[in-house]
Amino acid sequence: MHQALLVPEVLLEIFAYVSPTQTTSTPKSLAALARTCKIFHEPAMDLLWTEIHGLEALLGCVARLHPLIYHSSIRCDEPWTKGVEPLSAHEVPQFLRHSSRIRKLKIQSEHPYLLSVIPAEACIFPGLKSLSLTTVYLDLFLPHMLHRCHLLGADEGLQSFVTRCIALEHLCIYTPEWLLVDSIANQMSLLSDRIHWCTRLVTLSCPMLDWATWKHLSSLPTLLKLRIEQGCNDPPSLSQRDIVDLSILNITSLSFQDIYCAADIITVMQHSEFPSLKEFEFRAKCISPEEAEQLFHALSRCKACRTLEEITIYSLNDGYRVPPNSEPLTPIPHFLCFTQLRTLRLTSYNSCIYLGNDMLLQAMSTWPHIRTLEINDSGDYASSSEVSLRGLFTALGLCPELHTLQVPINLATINIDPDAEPIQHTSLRSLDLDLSESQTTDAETIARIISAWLPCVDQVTNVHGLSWVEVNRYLESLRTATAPYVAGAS
Amino acid sequence: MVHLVTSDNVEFVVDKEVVERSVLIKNMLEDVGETDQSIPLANVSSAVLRKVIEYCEHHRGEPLPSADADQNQDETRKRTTDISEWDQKFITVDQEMLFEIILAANYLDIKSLLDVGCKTVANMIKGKTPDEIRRLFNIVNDFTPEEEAQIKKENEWAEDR
Repeated sequence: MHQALLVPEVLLEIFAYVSPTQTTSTPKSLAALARTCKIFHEPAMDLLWTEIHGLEALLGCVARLHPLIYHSSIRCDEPWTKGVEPLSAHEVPQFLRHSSRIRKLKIQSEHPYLLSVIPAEACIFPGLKSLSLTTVYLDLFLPHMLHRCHLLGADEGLQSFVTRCIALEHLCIYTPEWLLVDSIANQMSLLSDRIHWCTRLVTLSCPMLDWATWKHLSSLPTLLKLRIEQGCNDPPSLSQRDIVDLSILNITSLSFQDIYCAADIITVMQHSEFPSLKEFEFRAKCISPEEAEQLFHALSRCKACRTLEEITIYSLNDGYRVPPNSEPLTPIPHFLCFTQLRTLRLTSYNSCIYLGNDMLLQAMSTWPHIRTLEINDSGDYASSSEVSLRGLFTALGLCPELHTLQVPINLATINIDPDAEPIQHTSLRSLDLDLSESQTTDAETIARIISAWLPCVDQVTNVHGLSWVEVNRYLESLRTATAPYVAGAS
Repeated sequence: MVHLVTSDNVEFVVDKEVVERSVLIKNMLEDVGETDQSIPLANVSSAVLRKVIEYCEHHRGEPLPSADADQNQDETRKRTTDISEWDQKFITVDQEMLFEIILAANYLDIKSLLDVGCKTVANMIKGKTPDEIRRLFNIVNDFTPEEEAQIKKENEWAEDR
């Protein structure tokens, strides 16, 4: 053997390029290295067992269970654990033979009773850094210095974990969609109770919390990111009599996902201040126009005027029909206070979002750093959109950093002279204009204007599928015609 | 220019920019400042140093990997075992020279060259059985049959994947 293979750092470097966790290799080669010689054995085993999915690999080290797991003749529709006795005390060391090597563990299989002999307070994965599992196993596997934990549901297993994970900084709890409402209510209560023990949280992703827990979070100086996922269509409501005013000082990112009932979220927003907030995201399955206006207003009052850079509000309005002739939503005036805004994405299916020349001009003059502006509504309002070509280009002149733009536009009248000297906007790359089908357009003239004023836009798109084919065809031929000139200029 | 003397007492005069791809030599030069004195490389033969200089010449001016980048790669990104065409041709040498280059790259602290060497060895290992690996690198099997069988049993989950 060459002496290079006796140098530990060289050996580790070579093995790292064989490791499935660090390359796209399979674990088979590492397993072969572990059997090659004693010098290779330990470093190869450490890498091989770094990341484990399921408990079978560990249970397979138990002599009694090995043949059941790997060489069983039982029917394939029956679990190998059927009728199998739990581990005995003398089998535990076999089960744990390689547990200290494991850094990342994902468990989904369901045979916790096999491990009933292991004391609940045992910490059997001392090196674990990342854990994904159902909480059935929590008592057994949580090391005291776990930093990051992903859990499926917040059942009784959660009760012990926070008192043991003093270093827990990142906690993510998923709510399975199949859970009954009663279970979710119980989970909310349990979760809220347990989160009080977490004093070092930096990121928290979980189902809706009660007022007491919101209050607790407001006292956590470490908390930077909070993501709430409602995830069911009849969530338990927050108690109106427990409402407290909150000032959550350091949160920079606040996200509400999968919202079926927005009322509680709006109440929380109405009673909260987020003076460090940079990103706000709200994705609802359903929200009425009245609730949407309340949300816009609450956001504008949450003391994030000097910090908020990114707003994403998405309303699918799943199963909700807005009455005909309803007033369009007016979010923009609420958001004019956010002078640092870089990204604004507003999507509301079934509802219209009002935007006119004056409003767009005012918005762009208030948001000099805006890079992405996307307004995507039901499309019904496009025919009466008051943003004209001239209004659009005047507003563009106020936001030199704008890269992506999606707005409804009215092209009934082309109020830009295609032969006039253009004021070019050189940052805009992506342009999506929502255009009513009923509008008649002079495709060639529009293409000439876009080509002259927006030199970096290659084509115009439209999410509602309305056709810009003609304009884009002219635009492409204009770009081709001017290409040699551009190349020569550079 | 920098003067390097190999273990077999051959002197090389190399452009400073080229030789500073070695972190070891770069740090040495920073510590002692401008000097005409030769730097002895007791662990590197002239044949190996010639190859190392050829590599450094070819990659002259490329950015050196930072320690942060290494850590980032280790923690968040899958390593690639791809080797560029020139590097592949460069590293097509006999096994003795391959391991000598790896040792020299490790000693001289030339991360990118160490990577090329280690990737090459890793690619030679992939898909081979323990017996084939032993034959390839002339390794004696120091496990008893029982020990080897036990390891195989414990790692059976990895064998067929």
